[in-house]
Amino acid sequence: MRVQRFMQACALAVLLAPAVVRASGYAIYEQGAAALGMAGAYVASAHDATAQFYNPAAMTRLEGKQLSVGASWLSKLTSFSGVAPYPGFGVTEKMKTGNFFPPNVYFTSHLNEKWAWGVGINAPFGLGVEWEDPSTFTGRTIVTKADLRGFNGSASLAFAPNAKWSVAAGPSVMYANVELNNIQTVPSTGGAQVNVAHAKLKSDYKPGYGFHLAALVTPNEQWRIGATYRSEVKVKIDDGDASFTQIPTGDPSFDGVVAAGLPPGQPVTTELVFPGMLSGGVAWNLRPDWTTEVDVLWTQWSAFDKLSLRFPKDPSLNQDLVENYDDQIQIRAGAEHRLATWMYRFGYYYDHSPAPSESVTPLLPDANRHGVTVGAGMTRGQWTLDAYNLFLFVENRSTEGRERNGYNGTYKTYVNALGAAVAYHW
Amino acid sequence: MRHLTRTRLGLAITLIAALAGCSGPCDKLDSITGPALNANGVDLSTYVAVGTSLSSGYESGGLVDRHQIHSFPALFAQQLGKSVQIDGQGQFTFPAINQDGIPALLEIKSYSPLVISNAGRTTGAPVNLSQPFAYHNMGIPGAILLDLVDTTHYHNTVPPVNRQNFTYFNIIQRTRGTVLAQALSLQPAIMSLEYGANEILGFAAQQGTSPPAQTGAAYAQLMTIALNSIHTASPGTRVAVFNVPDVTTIPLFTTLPAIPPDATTHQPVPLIGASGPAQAGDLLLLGAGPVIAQTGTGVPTGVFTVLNPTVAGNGQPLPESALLRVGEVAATQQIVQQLNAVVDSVSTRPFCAKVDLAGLLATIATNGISLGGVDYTNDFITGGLFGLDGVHPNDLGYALMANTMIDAINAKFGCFVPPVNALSYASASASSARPVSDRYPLVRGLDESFRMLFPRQP
Repeated sequence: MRVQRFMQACALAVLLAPAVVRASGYAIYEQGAAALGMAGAYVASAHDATAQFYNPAAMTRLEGKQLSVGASWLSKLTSFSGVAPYPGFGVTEKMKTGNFFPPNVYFTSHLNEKWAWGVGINAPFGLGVEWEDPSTFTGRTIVTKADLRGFNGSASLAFAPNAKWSVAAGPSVMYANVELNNIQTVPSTGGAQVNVAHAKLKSDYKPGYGFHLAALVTPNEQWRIGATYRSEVKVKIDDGDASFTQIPTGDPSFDGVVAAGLPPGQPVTTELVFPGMLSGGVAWNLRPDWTTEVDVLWTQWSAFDKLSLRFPKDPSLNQDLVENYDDQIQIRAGAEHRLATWMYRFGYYYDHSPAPSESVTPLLPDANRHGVTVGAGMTRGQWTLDAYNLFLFVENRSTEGRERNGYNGTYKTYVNALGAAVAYHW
Repeated sequence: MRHLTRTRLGLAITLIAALAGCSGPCDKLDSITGPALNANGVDLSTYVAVGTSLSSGYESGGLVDRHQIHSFPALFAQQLGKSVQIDGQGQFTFPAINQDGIPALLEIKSYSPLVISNAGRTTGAPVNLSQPFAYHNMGIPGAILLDLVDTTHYHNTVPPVNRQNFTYFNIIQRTRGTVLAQALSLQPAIMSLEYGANEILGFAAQQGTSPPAQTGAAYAQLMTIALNSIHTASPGTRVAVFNVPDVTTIPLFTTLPAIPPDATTHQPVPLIGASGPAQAGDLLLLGAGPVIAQTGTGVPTGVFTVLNPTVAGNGQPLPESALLRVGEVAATQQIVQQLNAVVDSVSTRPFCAKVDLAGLLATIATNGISLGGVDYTNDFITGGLFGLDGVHPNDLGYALMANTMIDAINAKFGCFVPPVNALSYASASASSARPVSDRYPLVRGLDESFRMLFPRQP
């Protein structure tokens, strides 16, 4: 019962945590401190309660009951430099620096020698964008602020028919909401863009359902091979609210006309797509105190082709935000060295952007990423403490003059993540 | 043990460094500098513009220094590195006009009802009329191609010019010889030649008729004379030749419907012209709006339309000059095509580049141009590209013209003139006769604006 209350509290914490983009698109693969020390190359070598996320089949290899509670401190810096024709050479913009603290919690246990089960709550998807000085931001007609949060509750049942094989499966439910803000403008007689209204679309949390499958093969003590598939989840947002708030210009007559023409607040619907993921990895214990692993992660980003906004009361406002992402592959490699009283880890991953140049927008300025991680852990009795730091070097991304809204330039992003997890096993 | 301590220390230092912040990857992105001018062996040392009001920077019914410095020739000259000053001096000179311009520029007095006039504004005067050499911008409002080489008619009131107003010729040509002779006196390395609009507009806009059938042939003959004269006098001079836009797509013709809907029933009501009711495809000139709204002229007796919602129609016909009939529209467009065939033909000459102004306006009139997520169109007042006279571009429109010219020159001659940062010339008002006192931009006609903001399904 205490565990249940604790899980509810953690779920609430995930709900309240601001979101941030850390993997390509709006995926967040960083869901465990030990795993992150190895750059997330953990599908085969998962050996703590975060297996519930990385490879539930590995739960059969865990001892007793395990509870892991973790959190990260993320800091993201994004800036933009424009080119002609819009917003023009010399224009620079900057996102507000984001500091975020997304938590995660996992619990695993055994039914008997062959069966194990686990539950987890985490935030595998999220997007946090807020540009500085929104009223003058040159991309304000596209977006000034965007917030997408997805938190996932999952349960798994794992079965090990023998000492070499393990399989697992389970359902998941993703609760997600979205907020999109921009500023509506009209051209003046001289062509300048005049701010006339704030547009805001916001929804409550809604559920979507999916499942996951996993397998783990341990041919001998030196090698482990793992694979995990998490299905696509679609979340139908059917109760969103659209509001249009006038921006006064100081001209009463003008403002009167604006007020008369401003659409009323009204419902909006959309569907959020969280793509399926297939990961596979091979771990090699080259010595009893060393483990190395290489993973390949495929994400079905082609499912993210557009975000359709529908206004049942006024279909003329309907809008499709076209994205046309491509399926994408990440390569992750990491190592762990276990010393007498503690262990250290390091790793690297390459995360290829799924976004075509046309979709590199102020809403999702995606780019190729290179993650370098270091981590450490120690166990004292029934307690384990793990920590990591991720230095995420994001390649500068040019829109190559092809951005869909005509907003062209180069984006630069850097992300640093520092995280820790405490695990208790009994 | 010592090894362990060192390892821990190294890890701690790494984490502290991460926490303490970073440089390099954390720095804000530097601004990107635009590509530089690369002449690539092409002589771009002196630029001279000849043409019409479009070359002069005419905007919102007048010519004034604050918009003259944003004419497309002035913007092009700046891209070549020439200085352009508001007093008309500098390395690219023009006939600067102060105060509120000549005539004083139009401004919006009211938009409910919409009232546009220049009442209360101060007519300007030339600033550098005594400049002892020709202006680099020889664009003259009202000029036709004949004026480029003509030595007899530019001050005459006889056919074929039959010009009544010499104001701009007096200010710009200044009886110092033909426009072409003055232009060549500056020894231009590159010229822009922009004519043809007045050959069409003089009839379509002022008389409500199509140009004479011989317009195309005369234009071809004059163009040949002009280009031969340039090439003979200055063989190295390169010329950017503008083609002619379909003037029937400018706001002057597209804003008011010739068959407006009834104010209450919304059924179409053909307006009445001197030669009969309007037919489908007829165009109503913008200038007819006030007389229809205020007197009901052109509207059947007792009828209220959206153009005269508070004044009953009086059954009196509009003058035919207020309408461009569908046949005249077709004839006008045919003449435009003839003029553009001339430009296509001469542009094959090695020293000539065609500037596709017709293509630019066609794009604006059909799909609009998206800049920064905002669609700019040929809509009057709310389209963002035309001034208040419904004929001439605003500064942003002129910047787009400059870029069209730059594209043509770069493509034909192999140089690289950097494009203009167009939206940096977008201003609060298309009528900046004086320093803008408005605390906010003039934006009117919000019905149209909100149609753009929240476009309706067809």
